[in-house]
Amino acid sequence: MNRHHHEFDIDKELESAKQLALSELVRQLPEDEPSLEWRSQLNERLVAIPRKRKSFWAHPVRLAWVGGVATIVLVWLAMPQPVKPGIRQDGVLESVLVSEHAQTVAVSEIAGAGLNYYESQRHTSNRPVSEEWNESDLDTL
Amino acid sequence: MRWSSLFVGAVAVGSAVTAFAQDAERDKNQLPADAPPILQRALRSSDKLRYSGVRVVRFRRGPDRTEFKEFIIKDGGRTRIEFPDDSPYAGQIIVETPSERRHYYPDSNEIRVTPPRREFAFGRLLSGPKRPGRGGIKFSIRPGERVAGRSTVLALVADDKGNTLQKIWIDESTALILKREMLDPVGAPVGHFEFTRVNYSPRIVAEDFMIRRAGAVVVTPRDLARRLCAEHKMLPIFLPESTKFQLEFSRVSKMGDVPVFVQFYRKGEVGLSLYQYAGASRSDSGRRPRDFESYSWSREGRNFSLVGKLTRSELEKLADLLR
Repeated sequence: MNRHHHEFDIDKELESAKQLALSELVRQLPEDEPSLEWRSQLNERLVAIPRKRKSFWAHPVRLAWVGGVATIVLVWLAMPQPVKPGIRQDGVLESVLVSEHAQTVAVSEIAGAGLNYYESQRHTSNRPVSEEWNESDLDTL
Repeated sequence: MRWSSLFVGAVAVGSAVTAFAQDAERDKNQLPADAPPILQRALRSSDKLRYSGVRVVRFRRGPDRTEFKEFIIKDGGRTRIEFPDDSPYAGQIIVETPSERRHYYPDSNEIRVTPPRREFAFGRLLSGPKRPGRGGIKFSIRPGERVAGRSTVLALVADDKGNTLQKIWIDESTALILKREMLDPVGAPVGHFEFTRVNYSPRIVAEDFMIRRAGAVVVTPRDLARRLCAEHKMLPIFLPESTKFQLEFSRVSKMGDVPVFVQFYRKGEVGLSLYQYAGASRSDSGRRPRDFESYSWSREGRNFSLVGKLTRSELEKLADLLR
């Protein structure tokens, strides 16, 4: 009830001469429309500013992938690798190879057109070939 | 970039081939000018003599010794070798001509065709480039013992310190080498042959120098090498024929647990071994016994070594063709 009464009072106030004069004054003010030139300049400035890229690391899925791959690589590196049969690094092999070559040349000299040492072993020796070379061979020539 | 690399590669290969062609002159079977006349005669007559005979051959390898007997028929540059019936090699026949050597194996019914080995080409030992720090070869001549009932002259070949490297007994009248010994650094023989019988008037027919066997498979050293590569999972890498090095034989040996694929090549009087083996890459230690040079490199997880009586730069050029 009071509220209706109050609304009634506001309407009355708005239609008062004072209010109508004020309203006429406001209506007579020049309209302040935004300048198109200003708007265009603003657009140009926005275009000129480089857009900030999102960091690669900021993406949680990518981060999870990279973490997973890194873990697999680290685990693989930490695993003991199988030891392949290697050759001694101290030049012994080289000496053996050179001595072996010297012996090959010598036996082929003696054999001439006939059987050389290796051909003669083909039918008479069942020894494992691993016994063919050893460090004592170094001293045979 | 790609074109410039191709050009550089072509120039490198071209230079290598030219160098090998030039080397061919040097590799001719020649004795030093100061070699005694009897040795010069023996070398000259080796491809002219006509004879048949029985020869005993001995090899020593570490503690093991191998000895066998050969029946030889020779007519100039052609040779036929057979083995006695009680020999482990009975049935094998070898025929060598100036163009090739054919070796018949009855058990596998194969005829293995290889380059000729040029019997008695003892100039090989003395050939090769002079290397700094290496001394020369010295010769001396003295009366030799009778060999196969023939009078001989004994030629001693020694290093610059007087260590005897070879003893060669030469028939005084025909200049045939009747006996020869190659010695280790302390004077023990590592290789030896000796004629026990020789006939300078043999009856020889043209068929003596032919091997014809229907159904026999003809195999070359490359065939055998490829077979070994497949069996032992080695890389099929061979010296190109443009180098003029001819593959004589190949085999796979083991050193410890490491299989080593060995190829033995020859160009003229120069022998060359190519080794292929698995294992860690290693640097060249520079330790090279005697007067051989070596060069090593890696490819596709394998190590390779070239060893021969060549200069290091010559070996490197050959290696460039295989890398």
